[in-house]
Amino acid sequence: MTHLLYLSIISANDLRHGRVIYLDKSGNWTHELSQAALAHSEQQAQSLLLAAQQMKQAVNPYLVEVTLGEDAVPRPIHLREIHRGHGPTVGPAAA
Amino acid sequence: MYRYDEFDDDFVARRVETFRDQVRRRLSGDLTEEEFKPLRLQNGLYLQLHAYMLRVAIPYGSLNSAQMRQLAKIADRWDRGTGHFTTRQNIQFNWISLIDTPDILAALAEVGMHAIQTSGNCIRNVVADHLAGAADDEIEDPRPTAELLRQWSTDHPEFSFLPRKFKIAVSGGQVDRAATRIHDIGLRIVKNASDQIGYKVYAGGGLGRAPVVAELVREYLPKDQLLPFIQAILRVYNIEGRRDNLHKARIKFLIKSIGIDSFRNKVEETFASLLQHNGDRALVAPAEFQRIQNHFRTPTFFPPGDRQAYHDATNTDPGFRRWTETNLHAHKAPGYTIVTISLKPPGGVPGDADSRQMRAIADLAETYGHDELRISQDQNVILPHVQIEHLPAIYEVLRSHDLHSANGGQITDIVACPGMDYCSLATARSIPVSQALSKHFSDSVRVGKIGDFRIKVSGCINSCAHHHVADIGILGLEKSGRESYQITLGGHSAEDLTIGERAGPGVEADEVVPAVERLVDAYLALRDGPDESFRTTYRRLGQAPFKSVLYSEKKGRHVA
Repeated sequence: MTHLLYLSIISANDLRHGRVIYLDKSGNWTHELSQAALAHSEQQAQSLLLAAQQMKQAVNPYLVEVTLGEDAVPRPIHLREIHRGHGPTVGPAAA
Repeated sequence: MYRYDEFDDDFVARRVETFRDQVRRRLSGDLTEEEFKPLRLQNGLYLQLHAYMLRVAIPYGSLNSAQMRQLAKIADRWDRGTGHFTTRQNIQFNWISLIDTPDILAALAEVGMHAIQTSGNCIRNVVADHLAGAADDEIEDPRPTAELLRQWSTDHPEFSFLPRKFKIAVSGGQVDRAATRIHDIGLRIVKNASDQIGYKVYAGGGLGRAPVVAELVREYLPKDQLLPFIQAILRVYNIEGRRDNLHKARIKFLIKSIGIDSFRNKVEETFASLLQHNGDRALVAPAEFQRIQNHFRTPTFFPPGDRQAYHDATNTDPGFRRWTETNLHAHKAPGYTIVTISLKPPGGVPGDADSRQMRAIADLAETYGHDELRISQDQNVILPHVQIEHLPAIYEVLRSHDLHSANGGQITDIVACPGMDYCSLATARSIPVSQALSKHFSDSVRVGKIGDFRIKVSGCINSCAHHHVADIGILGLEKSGRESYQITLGGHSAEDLTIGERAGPGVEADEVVPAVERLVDAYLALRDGPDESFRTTYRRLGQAPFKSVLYSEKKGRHVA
């Protein structure tokens, strides 16, 4: 599949609690996928990733490939990241 | 129950404080994640998709009511009120914070528990027959052997950095209830021609990407030679096992590579050398084994009491009667039985228990069960010593806590790993599939008609749910951005352990239930009477009739 548009965001787990976090436009970490900063090129993504890796409160930041919905909210492409973004579909957290 | 002595208490307490300091240094930035990861894993702390997960060891699946209550307390105070019992007889807490972990480990230590060697390339928590010490067919209680191995392997300097993780199982019954032949080492307690108790030793079993049934290494090993023989197996593996390829590092690949005869010769040579160099010091001294065995004395059983309430409940309560038909197992003592507490309600998460349920189970163990509990590899809880006249009272407590499912060993007693709802290694979800199946087969009459039937659902090829050894095994994978489920048929985990055969292409998530339904219908139509198990029918007829119904629905969507 050819991706006409390169889009990615930065995700990690927060060090103290392990919760899913995303790098936002202000360079801070957020739990909201919708607030994640978009990288529109590989160069921009690498730059954001480098910055994220210097932040001590994040464990193993990495790039997550996304598309944009009509609402302009990033949507991860891979199942794993979709589930990370939404949380478990079962159990006490899903209630 | 094994009780920690001062040495054990001191060892665990020091480990807690060491980890507390390691966490402090990680939070302050003195340790990088790369440096810290192996340290947290040595203490059972994983970083999963949504949070840290703490895996707590329940050695050989045995615990008492105080320990179960402490697990409930941990669930309430530091998790979201729930724990997940695993196929390795452990418990996992899915919503742990790193900052809380030292306090949780300290709380575990208060009741003689820990999370040591529940991760990493070491000898993992030893598993055993969940009916240990109670089953009517037992040759010897496997728990003293498992405890001996636990003590010997804890922080063993030679085996703390093996090529890969290493799993040992011990079964003491006439029937293998510990799935010994899917473990790196499987020990069957046996008697020789002179009626002496020893071990039949298997090695090289495992599931995962390349499922292998363990090979026989020694037909009979005298009991006092256990540790040097296990040491010999591990030494050969430690030296010759691959370290260059994570996926080829388990002992099964070494045995496959050099052949079982060569492996056996190397083990026997190493074993002879250990005996030669160490003499009697290499052996397990009878006094030492006895010291451990003293912790596992059979409780003093009471004489049978008045069973009128039991007979009344059997005659008037169909739910109770059905439960006694499926969730009890023969006990070695007259008037006693073994109860399986199902953690598999219709639509529930297999293996999950909330804190309220854990406390109820603890109360039952204390009141009616000689304060003993076991966790099974099927993710259920066992009351190993129950007087038959107490069954109605126990059932009422279970019913009021939604723990009364009458499905031990039945099609709804589904085993499932956490899958992609929690696990960072998963490639698809497994829990929703098991929930859909247990809801679909909720008609108890039909379930009874189907009889013994095992479904196991794994969320990735690592096979934590043991899907290879189920009548119907389901493996979740991601294909082109969608969940796809491969189906294997004809596996079995007990005496005649068999790896199931893959039926063909995977099916999409919403096709799993109809596909299983067609397979079950075919089994009911094809079996030679109600006593013929699925695996017997499958072996008699082969895969063809089942495969034809599995893929018969044109509307079924397959994923290559």
